Amino acid sequence: MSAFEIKSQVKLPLGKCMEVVLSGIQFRLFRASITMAIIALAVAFLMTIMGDSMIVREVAQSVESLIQPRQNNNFWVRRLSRPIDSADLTQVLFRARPDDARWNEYKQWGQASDEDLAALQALAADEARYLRFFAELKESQLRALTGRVRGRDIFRLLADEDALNAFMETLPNIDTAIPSTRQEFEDFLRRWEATRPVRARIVAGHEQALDGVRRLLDGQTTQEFLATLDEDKARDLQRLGYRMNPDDVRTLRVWAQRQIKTRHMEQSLQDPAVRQRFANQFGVQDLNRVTPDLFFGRMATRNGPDWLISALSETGRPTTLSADEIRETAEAWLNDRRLARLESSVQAMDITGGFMGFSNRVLWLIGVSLIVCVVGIANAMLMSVTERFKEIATMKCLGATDGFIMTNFIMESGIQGLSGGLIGGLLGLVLGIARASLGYGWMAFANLPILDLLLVFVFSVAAGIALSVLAAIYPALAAARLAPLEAMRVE
Amino acid sequence: MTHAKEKKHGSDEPREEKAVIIRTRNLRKTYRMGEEEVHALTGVNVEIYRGEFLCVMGPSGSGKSTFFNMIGGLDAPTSGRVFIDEVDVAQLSASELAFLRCQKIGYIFQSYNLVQYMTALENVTVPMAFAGVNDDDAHDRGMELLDLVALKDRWFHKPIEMSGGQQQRTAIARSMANAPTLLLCDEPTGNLDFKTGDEIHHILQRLNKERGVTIICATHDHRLISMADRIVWVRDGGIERIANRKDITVETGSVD
Repeated sequence: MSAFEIKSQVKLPLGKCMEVVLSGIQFRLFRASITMAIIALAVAFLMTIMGDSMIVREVAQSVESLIQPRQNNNFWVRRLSRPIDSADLTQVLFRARPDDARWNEYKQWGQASDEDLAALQALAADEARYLRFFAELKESQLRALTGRVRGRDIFRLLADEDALNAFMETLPNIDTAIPSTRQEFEDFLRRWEATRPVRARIVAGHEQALDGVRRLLDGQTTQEFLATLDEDKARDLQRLGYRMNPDDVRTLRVWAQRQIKTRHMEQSLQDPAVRQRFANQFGVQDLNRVTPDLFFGRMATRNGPDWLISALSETGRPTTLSADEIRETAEAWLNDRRLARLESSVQAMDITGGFMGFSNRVLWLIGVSLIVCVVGIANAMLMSVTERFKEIATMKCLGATDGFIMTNFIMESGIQGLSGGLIGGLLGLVLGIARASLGYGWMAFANLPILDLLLVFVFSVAAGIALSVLAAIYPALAAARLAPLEAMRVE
Repeated sequence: MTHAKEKKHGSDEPREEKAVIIRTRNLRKTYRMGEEEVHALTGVNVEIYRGEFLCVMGPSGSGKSTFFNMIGGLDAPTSGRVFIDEVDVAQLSASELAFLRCQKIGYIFQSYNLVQYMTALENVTVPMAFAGVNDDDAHDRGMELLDLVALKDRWFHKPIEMSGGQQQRTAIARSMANAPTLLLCDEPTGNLDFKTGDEIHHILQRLNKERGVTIICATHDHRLISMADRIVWVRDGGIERIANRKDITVETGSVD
């Protein structure tokens, strides 16, 4: 008799393993679908949040580009009509880069060097920090520290040695401390004083330029001037030190014209006679109910503009606007209003900063939901192992290796993760789009970031698979370690 | 009900012509139950011969199950050795143990232990898949084995669609999948009625006689014992007695 030769057990091909797993899942379909439902829920949650915020971010970008002309108009009207104050100065310099339009304007007005401006710019962050500190103090604390002086003037006040000493001595008495060392604060104050002349020169230089602007306006309002803006006028401004982007000439003009028409229509409504007529015509009981929203809403309809033209001529103030112009202006006004509303709601979403643009709160939510999901799956898999003790042990008696048992459970979990993930991903995608479209309507669909959403979908499904495989590791190990003699046990 | 009486003393002479398939040396197994040590086996030495039909008897708690699991390669002894075909089981790696269980030993369980979501044929071919047999060969061999246990027509039935006897017959076919030299049966007819039990006994007997398979049965069933070549009594963690079948009388309490 030849001695029996013992070899290592062959490895079962994955395909065979998959067959066993699939028929197992089919047999325990109910349990498997509950596990899949857990995974699907978690993935749907992940997908909804990520998809929704992708869409919101896209909407926000679109809103920003849509409101840009209005902001640009505001910016230019302000610069052409009002002197620069310290706040403007810091704000503009904070965003300026060497040699861009704003930088060069300041350079010219302040007869300043690049170094001067760089020194100013370097102060901006500290300035904001100290200003925030003063702003957060209570009024009583502030009075104790600086008397009646407020804002940036405090810096000037404290440039004096004695005042600073008194200030520093008062700090502990009112239970507060500056957000830096005294050394740093003194350094800041010194630099602030050192750059005072440059700032003053910029402000003065700009005021001179404003004189020139006044001559250019020749009695017009700034908006009226912008409404007739052309290459020549842009060159005139250039001579005064203003730098205007050539593309801005047209958009500024168009926007200014629209603003003037809007203003004209708004003013017409301020006439009580017109208001009364409007109320009568459109069945509004209370005159106070005649809001701009209602007014422009009516003016955007087919018959509204004709009504306004006749109403204005009846009250003795005939308008120069045509019906089409009125309708267009009203539509633009309504659109602008919608954008403003979107802008504020988008800002409330807190979509900037954090990991992948998610706020900490959302990251927490995602994290916790994923942990709950892992625990849920691990529990389901453990139960699945427990109730299959005998089957697993029998398989081991029949020659299954530990590796096969491991693979079996990991694979089962992976398949559940994949199917649960796909279901959850689709569900989450639909929910995310639905949520975004409830908030932003057509803007959400117009700005659907399809590629991003696809990526997020793939990521969510992958996360589902990874989670369920992760959750299955311990149960699979427990199953693989099971002694084959468990098969002998009789219930 | 069933008890065996020894006919003659001291006829335990070795049969030189028989080769040894399982040999144990000083087999001990100790379980720790909290503070207490439970000696399940206290130094068992036994030789089992190739091609014999052996029944293991003993009351519950006697160490019978432990002994049974040891010689089946399902559990490792605390000390001592088990040789299966002169191979020391303790020396084998996990993978080699799996190979041993797959190729060398067939297991038959009291509660059949068929995989519930597989058909009879699939159940029978599982060990072949583990052994790396290709699907076509496995199918043919599986059908042959089902034919052997007279279940060829029911190859597509799932365990839930079969009677206990049919399930146990399927389990026997499965245990023979890789033509093992050794069959370990743990109360194979414990869950079956008299008539169905008989069918199982005859299949086992045929396997023993026609194919020369060594059969080790843990059982209390007198009919099985009456078919055995030798009977081993286990008591208090040791071998109480080993007797040849022809040396004892099996008395059966009769049921009218």
